[in-house]
Amino acid sequence: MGLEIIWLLEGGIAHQSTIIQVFEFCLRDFVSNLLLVMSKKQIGLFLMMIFFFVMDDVVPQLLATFCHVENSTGNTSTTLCFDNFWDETQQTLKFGVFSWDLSSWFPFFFFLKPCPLRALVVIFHTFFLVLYLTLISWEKVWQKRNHQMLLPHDNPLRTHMRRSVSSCQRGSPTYLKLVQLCCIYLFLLNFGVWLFGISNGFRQGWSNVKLDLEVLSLVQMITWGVNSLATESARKHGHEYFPKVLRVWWVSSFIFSTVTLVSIILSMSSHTAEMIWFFNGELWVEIFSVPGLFFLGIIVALLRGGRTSFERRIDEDDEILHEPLLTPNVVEQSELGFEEKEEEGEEGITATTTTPYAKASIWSLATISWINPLLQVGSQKPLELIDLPKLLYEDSTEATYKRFQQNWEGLKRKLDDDAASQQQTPSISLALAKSFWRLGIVNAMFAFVNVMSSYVGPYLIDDFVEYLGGRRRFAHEGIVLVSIFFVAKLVENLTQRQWYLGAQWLGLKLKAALTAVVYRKALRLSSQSRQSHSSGEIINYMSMDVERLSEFTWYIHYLWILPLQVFLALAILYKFVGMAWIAALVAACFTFMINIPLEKTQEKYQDKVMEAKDSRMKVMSECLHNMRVLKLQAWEKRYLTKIEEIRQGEYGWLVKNSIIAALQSYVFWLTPVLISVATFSTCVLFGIPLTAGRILSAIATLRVLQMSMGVVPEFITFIAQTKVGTQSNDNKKKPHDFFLLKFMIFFFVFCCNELMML
Amino acid sequence: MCQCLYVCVCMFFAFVMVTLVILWSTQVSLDRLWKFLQEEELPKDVVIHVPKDQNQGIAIKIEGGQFSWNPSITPETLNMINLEVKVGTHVAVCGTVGSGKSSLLSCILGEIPKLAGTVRKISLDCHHACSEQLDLKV
Repeated sequence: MGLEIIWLLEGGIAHQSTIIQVFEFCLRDFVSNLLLVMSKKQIGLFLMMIFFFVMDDVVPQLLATFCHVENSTGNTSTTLCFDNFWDETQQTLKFGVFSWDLSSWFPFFFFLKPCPLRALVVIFHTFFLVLYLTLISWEKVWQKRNHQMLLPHDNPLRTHMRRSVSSCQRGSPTYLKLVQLCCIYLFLLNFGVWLFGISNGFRQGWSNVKLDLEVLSLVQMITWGVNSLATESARKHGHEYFPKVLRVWWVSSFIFSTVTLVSIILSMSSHTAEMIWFFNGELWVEIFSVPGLFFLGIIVALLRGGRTSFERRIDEDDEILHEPLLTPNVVEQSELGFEEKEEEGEEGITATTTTPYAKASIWSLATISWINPLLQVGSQKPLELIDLPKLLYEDSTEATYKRFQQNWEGLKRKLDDDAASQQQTPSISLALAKSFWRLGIVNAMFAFVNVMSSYVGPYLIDDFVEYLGGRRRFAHEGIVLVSIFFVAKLVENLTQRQWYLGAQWLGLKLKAALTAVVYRKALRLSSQSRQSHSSGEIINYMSMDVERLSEFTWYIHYLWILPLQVFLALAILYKFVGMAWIAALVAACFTFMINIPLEKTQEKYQDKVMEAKDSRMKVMSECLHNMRVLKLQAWEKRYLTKIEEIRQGEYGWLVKNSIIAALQSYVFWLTPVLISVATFSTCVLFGIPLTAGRILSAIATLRVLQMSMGVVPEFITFIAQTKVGTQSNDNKKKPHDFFLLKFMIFFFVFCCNELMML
Repeated sequence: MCQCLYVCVCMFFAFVMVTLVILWSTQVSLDRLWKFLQEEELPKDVVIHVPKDQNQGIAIKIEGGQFSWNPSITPETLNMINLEVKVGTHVAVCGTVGSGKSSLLSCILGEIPKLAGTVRKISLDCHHACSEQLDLKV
């Protein structure tokens, strides 16, 4: 190539056309080199870019003529908004320090204008929509014909093949779920825009509606609806890759979206204020949809190569390969054998079906509707072990135990290698964290979203009441407020379910892994170590300590959620009632303090009840065992009075216990009333103005806080129980524990004193 | 205002205390479990498992065995044990109470610490035989 350039340069260096030729050569060389270097994916992207440049040249001419027609008929506002396009082209676009005359760059900059870009996006999406639908229908027809030709209906091979295909669908389709979520998110976004426009049209007349924006959002809505269905079908069939059409679609719509965003931002500078508001609406849509598209287009389609997270299992593929090809009889026999095995399994203990959770879609995960089949069975008859479906392998005790053991052994080995380190043995918590951190973080995220969304309502109630009072701050304020309330409540409920489920799930996993570890250890104890641990102690390890650890997953989020909740509540109170929040705090502390002695006495009574029950049970069982002697000696009456005496004692403790429980629930329900009375009376005393909105806001906030305040006594009993449990076995830690608890109580008293002084 | 801030800090501190107590109580459980998991395990190389096809007709063989439940006490539980059991034979172990019949079985299972000698066993699972079956065989 270098020689060619020299030749050309020597030939006619002065001539302009030769120089152009040289550049052309350079370009061609560059392209061919590029093609060698680039992988297939990148070539596809490159070709697509070229396609767009070509489109840039051809389509604008068409659109320009279109615009002319529009202008001449004067029917501009309702169709495509090209009305002021020609004025704009006369102007110069200024961005940064440069300014260009638009007419010289016409074909390129034409597409940086939002209106033509919108038209282009509509054309593009329709094209892909049609392409995808035709491809799908063609594939369906082709498959049907193929199947009919190769495999007649009664061929058992066919069912076998289907079964082996379905067995490939294992693996966790997290990426697939994310992709689906993304598609649904984009669909909802565009649906919202479309609905907004339609409602606008009904309210203010159709002349104000930007029809092109409506068409755009409608087409995009259909697009993402179809896309989510397409991903659903990929999930159903367990495809390893997303179809190529979808991938190209995603990438190019990401490019389109970013270009639109840029063009909107650029054109904002040269428009009037009214236009800026209008563009702003679109701007926000684009800003919200770009991250979703970025995920779909760049991460999934390009970086992951469009792979879904299904993994094809090689050994099962091998099974298909090793399938005898002789006669259908052989296959039938093998299949019969298979079915027999299945039946045996059903007669045995375990069920053969896996949980519907494994293949649950996002919808059923969010609503936990994957449990429904089990509930259906349970409503008809008492559930047995056969009715319960198999767990996913990742959730089984075997898998969790293996994971924990792996991390544990890994940590051990690491420490062994580091001879210098003082610590010779790894910590369990580190191994646990290493095995289950992913679940924990997901759970924490749900908890955080839940707390945040639970305070959205209380925060906005004031605005809503003001709105009802006749204040209008911006257009559609009421609709926006109501929809925010609705969405916040929806999110709160969904995340709460997920959070609670996740916490229990994590706890169960932890319990399974630790119990398995302890059991295995108990089997392999050497004779000396066995002497130092009685069997009761080992059972204690398995039941009590492991149980407490698994409970800890439940409480672990309260550790950071409680302060967060209190902080948020106080911040909202401060916003609405000013310094009166201190009164709220005092009242909260007061009810909180009331709870502690109640809890303590209840615990005491609970103990007494249990004692009385034990003694009664002992006497009862003695009676029943020696009924013959009783009858023979005619001691029935005597023993009956004895049992009734004991029963009377138990009855007394039960009454006391239930009185305390009633008091507790009374205090629990009194809390918000008490706090709000305290808050508002201080408001009246100090002359802080109270409006209906503020009062409602405050009450709603306190209502949210009530739940977390209710947890605090539970918290304390939990601590007390742990203390009792560990004291019996662990004498060394006792003084330390006592000190801590004393310290805590001291601090509460101290706080309350301080508050009283205020 | 200053006092108010002070109270806020105090409240926060109280929450931190609650947190610490909870963390500590789980730490106790973790410690207990940890200690348990650190306990010594049965050594795996006490009994040499001979594969089934190389047993030369011998099921169990103990040579110069010296075993003790507690290695620090001088009279060992079992001393100078030489035993050979052929495949397919029945062996009865007799003795007075505390003479070490169970310990002998334990040393075949590898539960008792070994001080000297070798123990060879055919690699088969050990089972508890019920007396009726034994009656039938004997």
